[in-house]
Amino acid sequence: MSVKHAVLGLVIERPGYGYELIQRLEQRIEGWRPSETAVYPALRSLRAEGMIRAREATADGGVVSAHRGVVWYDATDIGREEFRAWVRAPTDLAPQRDPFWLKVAFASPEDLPWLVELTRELEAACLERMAELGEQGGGVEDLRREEVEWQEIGQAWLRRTEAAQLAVRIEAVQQIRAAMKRAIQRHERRRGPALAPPAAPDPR
Amino acid sequence: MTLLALERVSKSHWRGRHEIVVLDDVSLEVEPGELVAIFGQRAAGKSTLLRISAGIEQPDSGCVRFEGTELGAARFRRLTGIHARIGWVGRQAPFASGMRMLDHVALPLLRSVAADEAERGATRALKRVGVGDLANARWHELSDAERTLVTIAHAIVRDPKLLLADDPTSGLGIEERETVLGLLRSIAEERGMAVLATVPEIPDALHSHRVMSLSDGELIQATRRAAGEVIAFPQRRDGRA
Repeated sequence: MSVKHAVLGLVIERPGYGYELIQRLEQRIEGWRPSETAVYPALRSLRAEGMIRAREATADGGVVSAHRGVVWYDATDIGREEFRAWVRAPTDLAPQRDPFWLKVAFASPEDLPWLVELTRELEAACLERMAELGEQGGGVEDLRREEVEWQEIGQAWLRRTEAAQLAVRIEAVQQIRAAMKRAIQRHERRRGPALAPPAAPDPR
Repeated sequence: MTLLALERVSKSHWRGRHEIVVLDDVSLEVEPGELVAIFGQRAAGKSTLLRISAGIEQPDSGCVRFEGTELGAARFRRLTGIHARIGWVGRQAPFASGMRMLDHVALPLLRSVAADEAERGATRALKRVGVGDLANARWHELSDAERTLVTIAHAIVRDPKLLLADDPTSGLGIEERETVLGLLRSIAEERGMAVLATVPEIPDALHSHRVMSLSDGELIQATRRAAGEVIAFPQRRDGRA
């Protein structure tokens, strides 16, 4: 994901400082689990490229005096232009980066009982995330109200797409678990019940 | 108190000498006032899970408790009236095809109250689900969404403690799905009714208080933890993996 553009987008919405931006970022694109440590390098590089500018907070600088000494960032015109260009530019198809599927592809039959257990954990985690998304609302009818701002709609769609992706993952994980259970049975028939289920959690 | 509890329920069907495991060691609890959604694809065991929860079908092993009473034992004691406290939302057409929807919805009440009172109850139930105008309509005149809503009215007319809904969103469009699930959720909240609904698509589950999924007879629940809760060491399942 492009943390840099996300941070730039936040600064364009309204000026902010490092810690505050991290919090806003988490709120806005929670499902992407942005890394906190990525925000400061992003700010540095945006600043170096002239897309944002820093100002020291002063009591008379029009910023909250409680945050004296904190570096606030404002978007520059270059930054606004770059962001607009980025929004409008075509997007590549994101690659599949979930390590679980790599494990599935490279596992040997002896690993399967562990992977079956992993599918259960993965599915439970997906369901938990699903429940979190559900609590944030944003039904189709709410979004059709005349007075809803685009940003709210866009935000809701970010959640809906995440939900759709979770749904696909849950179904895929269920199917792969069924396939692995069958493979374990086949393996046991051939070699005898050598594949005892794991006795202890996987030492990752 | 937990309203509905399934404890280690297993169920198999037999096709000749082939055992088909429909439910594999399933445990779950449903509390009053919550909508619990169970996602599962076709043949995942959803309907069996609901039928066992209703006491219509008996598990091979494990037990089902409704308000602390074991359902298997209560099954033959009609006087306990347990089934008036469980509502069922399925896809059944009315008892008689030419019936007005008002009569269809009033029917479950007629066992216990007079006709005019049953009619008033049915009118309230139809209004509650937003189809008060369908009182005089016939089943064949209704759209799929309207049928679902009328079926919900039919199921809540006796004000049950537990509502079991078998895929109430299947065959509906995206907005109708939201209407139906939003309705189930608000009914659960306002009446303190527990609602256990199966859904054929996961995004439907977004409207529920809790989400579970069922596949291959196995029930998976969200790893939800209350703050400060002591987490039990995870237990491995038995060798059937």
